[in-house]
Amino acid sequence: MQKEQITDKQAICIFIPFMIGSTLIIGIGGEAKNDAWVAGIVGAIMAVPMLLVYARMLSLFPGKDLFDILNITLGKVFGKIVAIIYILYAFHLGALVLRNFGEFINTVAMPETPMFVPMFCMGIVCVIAVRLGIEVLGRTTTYFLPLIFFILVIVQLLVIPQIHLNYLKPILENDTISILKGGFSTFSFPYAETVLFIGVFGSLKSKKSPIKVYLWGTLISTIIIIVTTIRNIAVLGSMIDRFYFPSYQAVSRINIGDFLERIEVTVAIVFIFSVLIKGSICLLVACKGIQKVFNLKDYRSIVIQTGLLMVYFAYTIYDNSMEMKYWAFKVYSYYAFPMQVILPIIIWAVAEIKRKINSSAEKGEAIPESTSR
Amino acid sequence: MKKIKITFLILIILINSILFTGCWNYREIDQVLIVAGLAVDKGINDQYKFTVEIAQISGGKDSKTTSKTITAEGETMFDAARNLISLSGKRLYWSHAKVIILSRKVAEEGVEKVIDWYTRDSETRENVFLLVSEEATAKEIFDVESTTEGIKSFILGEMIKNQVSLSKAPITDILQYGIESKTKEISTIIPAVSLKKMNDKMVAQVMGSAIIKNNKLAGFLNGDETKDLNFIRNQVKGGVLTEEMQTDNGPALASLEIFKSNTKVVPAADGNKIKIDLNIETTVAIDEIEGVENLISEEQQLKLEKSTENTLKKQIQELIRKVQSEYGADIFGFGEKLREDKASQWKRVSNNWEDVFKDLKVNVETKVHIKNSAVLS
Repeated sequence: MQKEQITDKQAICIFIPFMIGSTLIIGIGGEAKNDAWVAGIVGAIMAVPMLLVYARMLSLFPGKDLFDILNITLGKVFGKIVAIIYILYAFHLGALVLRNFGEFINTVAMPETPMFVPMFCMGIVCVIAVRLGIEVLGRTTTYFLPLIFFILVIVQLLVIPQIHLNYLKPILENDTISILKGGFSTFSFPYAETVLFIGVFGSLKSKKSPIKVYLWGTLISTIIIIVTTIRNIAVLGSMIDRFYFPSYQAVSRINIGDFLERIEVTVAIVFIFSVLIKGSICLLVACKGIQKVFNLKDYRSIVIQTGLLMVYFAYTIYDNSMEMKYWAFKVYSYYAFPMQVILPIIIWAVAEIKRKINSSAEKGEAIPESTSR
Repeated sequence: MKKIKITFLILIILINSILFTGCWNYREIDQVLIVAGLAVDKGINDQYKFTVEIAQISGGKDSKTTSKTITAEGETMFDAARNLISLSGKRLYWSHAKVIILSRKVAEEGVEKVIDWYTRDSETRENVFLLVSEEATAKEIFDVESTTEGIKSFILGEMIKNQVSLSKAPITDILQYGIESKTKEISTIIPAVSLKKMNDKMVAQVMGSAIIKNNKLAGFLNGDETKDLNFIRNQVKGGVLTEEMQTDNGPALASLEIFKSNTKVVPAADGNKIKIDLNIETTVAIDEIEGVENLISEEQQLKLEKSTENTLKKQIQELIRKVQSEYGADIFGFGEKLREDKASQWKRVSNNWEDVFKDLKVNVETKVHIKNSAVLS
């Protein structure tokens, strides 16, 4: 079977909606209030070393994905245990993203429709996308991303009359701790969630380091996130931490001459598309993990089952939207820390040590295999 | 093979056309009542008395829009809103509401209590205007006849919106109110509506503003005071300044149309004392000089500018003094400005800002620039 491959450009295109996906829906840096954008920058800076670690792991094992790497570095038994942790993480994250989406639709647009319906519809599309494979996802995003950018830019321009930049002041009013906390929560959601891309970027076409993909993707999505956050603060002021979906609320303020108004649905398009990408990537990684752990021939045979389970899990994961906000801003960062920071660092360290040992051994024996690294 | 495929596709299309015909809980336009505006009063037993104005659109050749009011009571806002169904029979649709009128009593009890439901609910929109009725109840605003044809709430909404060329009432929607009232110790203003006699009939008039201090109504300001207040808050976009002008034929009143106004509030602190520097720059045009034909000389122009500056300055100082001594409510946003620009000073005084505000020294500087005299020289 031929291996699926995506180009660097397509990888960046998948990366961006993944990052802005649910971030745009529920906003960032809840604790830092009007300094949330500072918290966003802090989070991005905190994330860069971790992104370098992820990229390094990938470049140490070109063509291999997360679960192969786990197998090589940690051995069969430990590798499988850690792989199961990552499968659960990807599965859980996918469910959280779907739930965010369901909660969003249920709160702002269709309060009387059961939340299961929008989540199920989205889940089905994710399943189809994952069954078609990463190549199709890559090509789809390259086509849709310009539309997303167009919407974001236009909305940003139209909202200018509603902006009060003085709501941003005083800058750094909140104490350092709450900004750092907000930064940490931004670090774990969404920056360090890109750890899942280790499970995808094994199919990168170029055998060079994926560091370029990681950094470019992060740079562009950081700009989008920070600009959006600044806009939300400048429009909603002190009310920002009262809304579940600040972006939607901020855009609903647009009113150009009583003619162009209520265009917040365009933002929903951005949400829906990026949630689709994020959910698909999570599902894809979970399925690939299951395939590797249970030595299946193809991950496609389990996509439907996993996808449906993800939808059900999303349906039962929270009781209500208050819990969602609590979980997203208060609990999630600590829950995800092992998967995002501790385990990758351990794997990376083991990989580096193994490489050192190998290369010194190879130097002695001069095996030509070393060129493959 | 091809035939099977085609039949299969047709079958799918047919099934889809049955399954996906529309939302299962759709509401047709003739099954909902469109709320245009809402008046909140205090009923018996401390309940909320809700009066909604409903837009009625009759079809036919000459379609007309008329309005009707329904009144219901309830323990909370939402309770009252749903109790309306028992009177109207149809569910109310809130997205197009333009105004919320609060009675004096409700506003005195607390504005935030009333608007929480409105900002929280998903059907209601937060670009609705808040008003306080200067009359005994809020309901009677809907009971009087309207000046122009149409739905009274929408007319009230227009009255507020078009204050940009009058500046005698603030333009405050519910979100704006929420943002402004969030900061501790900061007061805010919302427009006031009153009834006025015109041709033996009472009509509603939006003029002046209500001072909301700590979410409770503290008092009213009249239209001219509100204009000065808008100057301080940097919310003047248009309006008229009148000023006596010395001409060759004796004194005459001149009207100056405001085109642009910019106010800079600069908080300064020397030692422990906080003072505010207020710089107002206004561009105006002479739009009326009563009964004078001769040219306006440069000397007269300068004189007019000077005297307008002085009058404006005096009025603003008077207003500040009045608000400081009578209400002690920081409706000018000085505290907010201090918080934004001098955070450390604000932290020091924020706990007793009301006392600090009462003896705050405000230095007013006004500058009026006449850009032209319309089409007459």
